[in-house]
Amino acid sequence: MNVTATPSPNSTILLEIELPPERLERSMDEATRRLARRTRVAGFRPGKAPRFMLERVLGQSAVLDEAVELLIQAAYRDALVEQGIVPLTEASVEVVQAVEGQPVIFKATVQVPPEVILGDYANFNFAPEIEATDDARIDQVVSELRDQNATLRPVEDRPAQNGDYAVIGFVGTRDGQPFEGGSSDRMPIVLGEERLIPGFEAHLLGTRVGDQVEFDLTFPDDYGETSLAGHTAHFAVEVKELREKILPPLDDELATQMGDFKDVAGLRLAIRERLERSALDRARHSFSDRIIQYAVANATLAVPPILVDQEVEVMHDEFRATIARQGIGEAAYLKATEQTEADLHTEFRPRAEDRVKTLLVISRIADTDGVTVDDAAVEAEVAAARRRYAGDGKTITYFESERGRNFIRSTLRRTRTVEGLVDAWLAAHSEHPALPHLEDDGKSAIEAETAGSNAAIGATDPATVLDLAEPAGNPA
Amino acid sequence: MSLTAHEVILRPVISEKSMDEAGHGKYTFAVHGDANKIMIKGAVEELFKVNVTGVNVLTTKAKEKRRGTKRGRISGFTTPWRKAIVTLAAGQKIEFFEGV
Repeated sequence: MNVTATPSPNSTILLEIELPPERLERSMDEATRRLARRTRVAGFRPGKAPRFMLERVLGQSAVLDEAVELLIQAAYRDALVEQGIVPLTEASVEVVQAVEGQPVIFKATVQVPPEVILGDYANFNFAPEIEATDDARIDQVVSELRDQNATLRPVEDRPAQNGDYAVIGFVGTRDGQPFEGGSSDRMPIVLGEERLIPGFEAHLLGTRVGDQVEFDLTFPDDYGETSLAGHTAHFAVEVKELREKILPPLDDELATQMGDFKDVAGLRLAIRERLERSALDRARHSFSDRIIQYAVANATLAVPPILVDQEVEVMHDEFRATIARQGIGEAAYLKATEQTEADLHTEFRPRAEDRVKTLLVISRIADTDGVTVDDAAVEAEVAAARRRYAGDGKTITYFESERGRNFIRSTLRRTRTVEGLVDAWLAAHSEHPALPHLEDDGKSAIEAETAGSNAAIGATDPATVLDLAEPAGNPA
Repeated sequence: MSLTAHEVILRPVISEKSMDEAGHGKYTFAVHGDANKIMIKGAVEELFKVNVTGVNVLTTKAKEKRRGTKRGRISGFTTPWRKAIVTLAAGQKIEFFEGV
């Protein structure tokens, strides 16, 4: 076998491979056996038909084609091993010469991982930023808690005002005719929230329970229902119920209710601890994000378009899943936003390129720092996935497959690399307070990205704070 | 009765068995239903320019075949045909599949 490897643009390698005629001959025999086994030829048991019969049934060049294909596959694999090339994708192969009795020559263009020249990634001059937990934040959480534990008390002694919870019945007519969706028997509203037609609720202010009011109202020009937009309708409204929201007083009783807290001070202390812990966790996440950005910005690499294309497909998939969770079909979404698939892809592309870059750079750092992931860690993740996706057979099968394990392994490896950088910085700056993770379910690598983005956007994650509260009653 | 050589020899029979026997100088043909050994010998010698040392013949008779379909029963017959296995003089060959 004669192999010449020439580096080509876009981080590809052009392999030119020449094989002696004997290799083709052996391959012909193999091809005949294979084809015979899967072709039915009348008069022959499967696998027993001679070559000329196969060619009669399958066409003149079928056996040769099969033989060349087999040969190229084998030779291509050998060439990769011989040259020490790790391909990223399937190679595109061009057969130059494939004639019996002559050497077989073919060219293969192989996509290889681009060369990543790392810049500095460890000596950055920024530090984690920990949000201060001040009393104002705690007050906010406390008032959220009070809000969630509010009770509704019927209002009888005063007219309706903004913020009241009302139940109304109304009939809307246009030119004396009721119109679709313009009437309701019992409609709960919060006065002042303006969920209805603008101006509607204003007419209800000052009414009392049992009052009936009638008024004309013009729909805004940009109203969702086009047949109504800009038209005037007549509404007859009856106020059926009126309640006001009573926040529970901030006292020790509330604190006891919220969980096992002795008094308000205890509750506030618990909230402060929660907030501080999640601030540290967020600080760690944004710190690692900054390190990644720093490393990527300093690295030199040309991203091969094919990788970006793949990533765009991945993002498209994720997007599909996201809108599917909200119960929107992709076709419907595209129609509603007047976008085509191509538009979406253009939109994804810059992000995809970033993601590919990040991936490549972190992998390179992992190589440089010698980050490894042992099998036990991968198995632990698989087990975690098994628990998390119990009942979702397809996902579990994926994680248990070789591909899934590889995915877990590489994700873990990247996570560890970044964690390693963070820890190294913390070790070097012992004066800086430690940045522990929130102790949530072992910090799974599979969800690390989601967790990361959650941490990035979730200013206050109320759930984390309120976990310590009893399930709050719904104030409706 | 006079059949031409092409009328006597209809086509070679190509199967695992016939291919094996061809390796031993025995060639199998589908022949005219009325052809006898003498006619077959003459026809093969004429067509392939070889010497025939022996001819074995057999006739596969038609059989009735019935099967039920959605539209009712269908009945018919398998095609009757006559097969001849021709032994050539030692060392002689016929290049198969060239017309006939």
